[in-house]
Amino acid sequence: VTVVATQDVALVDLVDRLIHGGVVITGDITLAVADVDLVYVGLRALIASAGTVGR
Amino acid sequence: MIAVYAITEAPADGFETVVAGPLAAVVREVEEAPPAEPEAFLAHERIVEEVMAAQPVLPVRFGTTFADEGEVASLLREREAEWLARLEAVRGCVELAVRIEGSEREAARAELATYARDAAQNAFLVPAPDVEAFVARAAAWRSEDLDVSCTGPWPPYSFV
Repeated sequence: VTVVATQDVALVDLVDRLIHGGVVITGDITLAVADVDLVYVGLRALIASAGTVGR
Repeated sequence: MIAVYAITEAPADGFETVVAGPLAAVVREVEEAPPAEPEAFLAHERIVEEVMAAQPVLPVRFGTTFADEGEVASLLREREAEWLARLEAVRGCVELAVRIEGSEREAARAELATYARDAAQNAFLVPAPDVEAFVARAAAWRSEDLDVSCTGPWPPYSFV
């Protein structure tokens, strides 16, 4: 992945695409809405800690 | 259980697939559905990017699973025409994720769209050879008043 912005932004962009984008086909999609919220909370925590380390 | 990562053109040699007619689904046999965790996200993305490096690809939403290969095969047959057309639409292109914040947002988006084959919210579908030029244009819009970020190249998640 070529990144023009920071790696944090790339990670958010990727997760956005994985859980909101892509072909939706019937079958089971495992992520419930609550899971998605959790993912963002987890991601924010990750980004916050990475930022702290960076400084 | 079968996890599905991407739809692409058959035969898709070198990948684990379910093939039906001209289409192939890139799959893995898995014990359980992938958890919503960074490692699983990256594993999904890695598989899709490997396919993208070789041929046109429609990424499938994270976490998609089926009970067996037969279900996947019948879906490939059902939606063959639609997916062949989408594969044609993204052929040779990659997705760039673009976030623009500021007063000149619309002007910037409109200009960047002229370099893209298609545009969606926060995403542009760009022919692979034009990525560098596109990124340079995006960077040129950056100013104190306009925050521009551009990441990628991604598989065309926003254009399927």
